[in-house]
Amino acid sequence: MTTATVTRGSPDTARPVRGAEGRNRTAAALLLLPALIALLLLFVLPMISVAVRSVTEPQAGLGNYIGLFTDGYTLRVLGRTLLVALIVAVAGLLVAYPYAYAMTLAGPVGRALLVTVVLVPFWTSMLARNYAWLVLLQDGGLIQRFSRTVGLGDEPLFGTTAGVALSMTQVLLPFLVLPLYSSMQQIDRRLLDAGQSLGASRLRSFRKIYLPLSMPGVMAGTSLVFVLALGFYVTPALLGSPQNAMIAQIINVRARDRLDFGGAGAMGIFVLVVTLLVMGLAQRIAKGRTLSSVPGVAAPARPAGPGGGGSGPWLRLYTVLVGFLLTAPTLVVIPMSLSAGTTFRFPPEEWSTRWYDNLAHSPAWTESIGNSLQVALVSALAATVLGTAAAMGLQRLGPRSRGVLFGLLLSPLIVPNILVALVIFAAFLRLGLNGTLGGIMLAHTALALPYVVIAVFARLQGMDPRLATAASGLGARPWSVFRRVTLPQALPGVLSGAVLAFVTSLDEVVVALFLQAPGVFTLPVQMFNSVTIQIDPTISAASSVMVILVSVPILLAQLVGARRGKAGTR
Amino acid sequence: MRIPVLGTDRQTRRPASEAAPPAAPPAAGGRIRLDGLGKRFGSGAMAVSGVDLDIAPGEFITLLGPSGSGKTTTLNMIAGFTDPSEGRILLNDQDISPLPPHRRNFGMVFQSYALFPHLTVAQNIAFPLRERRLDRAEITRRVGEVVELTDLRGKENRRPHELSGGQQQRVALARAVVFSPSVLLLDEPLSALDRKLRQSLQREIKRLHDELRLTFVFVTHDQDEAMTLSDRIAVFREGRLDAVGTPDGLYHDPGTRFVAQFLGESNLFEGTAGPDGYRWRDRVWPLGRGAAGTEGRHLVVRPEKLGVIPAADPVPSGHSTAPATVTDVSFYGTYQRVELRYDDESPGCVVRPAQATPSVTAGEAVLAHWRPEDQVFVTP
Amino acid sequence: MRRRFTRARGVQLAALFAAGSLMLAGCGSDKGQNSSGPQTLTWASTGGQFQDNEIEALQKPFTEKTGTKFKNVSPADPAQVRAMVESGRPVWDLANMSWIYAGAYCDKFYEKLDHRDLDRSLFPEGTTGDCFVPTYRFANVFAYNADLYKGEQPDNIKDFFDTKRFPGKRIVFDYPKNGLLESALVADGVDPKDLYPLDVERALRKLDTIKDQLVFAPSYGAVQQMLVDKQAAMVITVTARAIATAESGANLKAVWDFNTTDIGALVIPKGTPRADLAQDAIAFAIEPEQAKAYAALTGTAPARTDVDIESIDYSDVQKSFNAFLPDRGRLAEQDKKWWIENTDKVLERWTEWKIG
Repeated sequence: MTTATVTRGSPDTARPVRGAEGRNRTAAALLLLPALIALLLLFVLPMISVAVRSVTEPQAGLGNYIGLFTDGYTLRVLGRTLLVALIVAVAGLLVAYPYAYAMTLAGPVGRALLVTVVLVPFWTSMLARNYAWLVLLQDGGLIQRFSRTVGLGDEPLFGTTAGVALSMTQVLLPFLVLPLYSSMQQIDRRLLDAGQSLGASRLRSFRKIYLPLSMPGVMAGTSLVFVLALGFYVTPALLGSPQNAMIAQIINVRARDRLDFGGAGAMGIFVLVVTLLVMGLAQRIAKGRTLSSVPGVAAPARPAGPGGGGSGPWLRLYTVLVGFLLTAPTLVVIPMSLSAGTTFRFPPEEWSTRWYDNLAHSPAWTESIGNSLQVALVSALAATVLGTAAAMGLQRLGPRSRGVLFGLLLSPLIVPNILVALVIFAAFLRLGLNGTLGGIMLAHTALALPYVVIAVFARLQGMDPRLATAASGLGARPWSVFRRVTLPQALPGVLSGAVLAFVTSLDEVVVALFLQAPGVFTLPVQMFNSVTIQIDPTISAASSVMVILVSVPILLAQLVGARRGKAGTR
Repeated sequence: MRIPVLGTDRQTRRPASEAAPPAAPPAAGGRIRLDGLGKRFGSGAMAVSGVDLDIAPGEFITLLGPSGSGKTTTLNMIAGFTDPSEGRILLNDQDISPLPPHRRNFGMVFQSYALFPHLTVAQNIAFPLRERRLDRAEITRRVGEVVELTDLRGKENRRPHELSGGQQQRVALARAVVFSPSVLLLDEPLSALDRKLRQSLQREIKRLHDELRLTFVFVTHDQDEAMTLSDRIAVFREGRLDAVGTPDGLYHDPGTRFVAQFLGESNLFEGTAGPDGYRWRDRVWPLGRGAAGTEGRHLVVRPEKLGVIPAADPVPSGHSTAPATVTDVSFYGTYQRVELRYDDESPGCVVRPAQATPSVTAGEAVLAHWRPEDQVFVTP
Repeated sequence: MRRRFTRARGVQLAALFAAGSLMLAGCGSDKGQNSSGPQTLTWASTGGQFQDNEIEALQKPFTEKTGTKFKNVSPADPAQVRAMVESGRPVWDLANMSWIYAGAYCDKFYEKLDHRDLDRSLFPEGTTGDCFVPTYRFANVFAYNADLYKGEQPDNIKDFFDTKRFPGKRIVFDYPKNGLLESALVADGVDPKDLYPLDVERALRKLDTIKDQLVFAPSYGAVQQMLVDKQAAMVITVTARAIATAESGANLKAVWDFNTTDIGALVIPKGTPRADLAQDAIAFAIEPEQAKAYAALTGTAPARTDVDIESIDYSDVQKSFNAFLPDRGRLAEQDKKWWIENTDKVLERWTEWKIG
């Protein structure tokens, strides 16, 4: 028989195992420093200038803040935004959890496929995706026709909160699935058997054992989605009604249409404070089981390998349905790109490759794709290095300082991009970084950093802290411990962080719009300009190309990896 | 006495040169001396204080104590995972307190095994050798040797999660000794295993110690384990070293009430020593060999030194007696246990051969009796 | 192309090795531009087809005439103008953006226009300010999807507010100066001549009657998409967008009962070292030849009153949405002064009303 062990250290073993405190604190500081400097320069300083403006413009004083409470709509919109974000996070969790679970059960090839499917929404550009939803949700669209046939009603989802929530959930699903998967992968499935052998029913042993162990992933994923949902702007504006307006839209109007930087800044800071409070409160309620203070769970063994376990028919069906949801907009975008019409059409009435011709022959498009890939690769790399180091530093800190730093690291995700963009734009102008790809890379590195920290940190939380201790006890120098033990263990987290960072840059439009110059613009900027004034279906062609360009290598790499892994261990 | 072959100093400064030493494990372990060692976490109370301990080369010493007694903290200080707040740690008379763990060159076996899940058995075992930059052939050879030694042949390419708990622990052992450390630290290595497996691994650890002659520092809260394995036992209590001695010595002369009760079972009588003997309730017992300095001490008799007879039976001559009631009698094949409650309500027990006479039954009023030379006195 | 690629590579490498340091990638940006020789103007505009038309009709002839080159960026975000002027680095020289900003922040974020060829008497009355003159004229055109009204067809601005006789969604661009408020007042009985100052509350009360049928589009692209998909039955949108929508397949018909007209303007961010050259470019753009070419491409109308609109070679579709041709019913030019002074307040009220 085998005895699976989950050992939470007794009081006198847990503490010392973290290592000699002096060295530890220095290491924590050194690891966190680069990320903190990057954030300080690219986020904190800008935010300070936003904060200063919020109490000095148009007049000195707290007028802007008082206005938030008296204008009759800001509080309402913020409340609604928080609610929608919460709904999206919870609904997303319900959809994503079984899918991530199925990923841990699948064989290597199946897993490669599931991972690729999860990532597909990422590579489908935000604008193309939104128009795909527009076409799907509208009166006479596919979804309405479907629900009519099944007898689910005749109301179009367009312009409703449900429609907005559906498309937001779809877009944000990967942000849930990845951390969930990376954390579930660390759970020793034999614990479930152990639970059952101890008399717990299947469901109970799942609830009492598996669920708590997957908590780091649950918390990482839901916090991420919650925070990201808060900042949604284009989707609710395009698919919702004015009653669905979210706070980012309101802030945008203030900053862009009214040039009221002070008022917009006050709103942004208010949103930041409220969000951090909400998350802090959630952490309290979850008894400190959120992101920053999940206790280390020692799971010495990996889950049953390929073929182990196996998924039931219901889980399989569910996984297929979620996979369908994940790819739905992409499955619309690709045919849309082959339509002969000059607006988005699905299904196309007439087929043609004119948009692909346009794409191939327009320097603006090809150049923007090249720029985007470059920017995304470099920022993802930089963010991954800084973020991984920061996550490791965070892990060495006590829970309190960890909580504070975590809030700081999350802040760039919470503050609406328009505010960050305005300040970065002004700063980069002075530094001569405006209109350079390097400038966009820098800004994107800061924006992508939090994703890496979250993904890596969640993974580190689930790691057996004794492994690193053991390695140094066996004679490994700190760098060696990192390279040979910590990194290989944290790799899934690092990779998912890198993917999140890559896609953040690939889809980021606000900052890129501000920092652009002729010849120095990314694909989202080009796309933005192609649908704002007049629809140009070339964006669906470009988006389809990106999906293929990124998905295929990722799928192949995984398949090769899966095959090699198979040959290696069996 | 032999000088240790592998001094820390030489070894850690030039790890590469280690490829040279002969394959046969060195016949001597390191000498460790703990000198007034203490640890305070944060600003709280001392978790460990004033620990002085001399560990001879090649000795198997066990740090024994209940959880929270400071034994693991002490081990972690020896390993270098925890900085001592006071005192020093000496290896072969050199202060190693400031060295980080990876430069101490100690083998370590962890409670949870701490095997690297992403590496195979062979890679796990080779880990410390690769860290020491040994050449490939040498690594293969040494791994082969310890695989043989720990009976893991045929499992080299498995991953840890494909092994049973006992096998995982053997991998952990192999990995800890493969680089010929001068000291092996073991942190409750058997606590996760079931009883039977634990016994077989105890034998294995013992055999390993006999073959390698390294210094073993073994932490456990299991007194049986400590008794079976150790050359000497260091008993921890509330952060302090309560007693140090051989298993036999500590058993027969525990010295403190704590050791007497923690290590084996005791019949403990809380009386007062006077010039005429030891007074307990209405009885006065001869002081026997523990005559000197018995003021304020308790009298202890081990269960197997105690006889039990019905209250009315004649008492063997020269024996001291204490009245008690039998609460339970149970048989364990070759021996039986008689649980008692003395008249002062304190519990006690007698262990005697299964066929011992006269037989007693639960509820019966009896006399426990012993020879004065079998009693010892302990401090409260 | 090739050279740019290499430079991008360099920047990429620099970012790679010096990530975190702000000193990287110090290359780029056009600091050291020579004042002698051919200059380059950076032109920010809407992007898409409309900006392509500007390049064709306004920039290319200017380059031929003066050798001045153009760099094009889009979109032209007024928030960006404020940020660049305040940071002392105006990187745009010309911007096609709402005159409201040039009016409200004249001489603060925008240059005053004092070119001798920009004689204010050349333009229709009330269409100029110290910092802007019109480069073209357009209308906020009320139109309907003819495919959706087979029987009775809308022919009065009141029909826009009559969802019983003419059911279907009404789509507008999400901004209060889109002609909707003025239309609501006229439909409510206000004489087009007495529109200003706008009674915003009265207009919103009128809009409340059709609020559940109003769709506020975040972009003109969305307006176009929804009209082509027949998701909206009626629209008030700007001339060039109406034309583009019709050309992409919507059976759109304009209603010439009451419409508001407005101007497009090229403005100059304050402090650009090339302000004079930029003014030359504006003066050049409004010259009859360029104005006519531009009008023919975009379907808008020339700004100068001395340009004969009849001589422009409009297509049939363009003509059908042009409010400046004869027999276009009642027209009202949106009051520049009133909008400049009141846009902030109206925006605030508009947001509150929309959300409530």
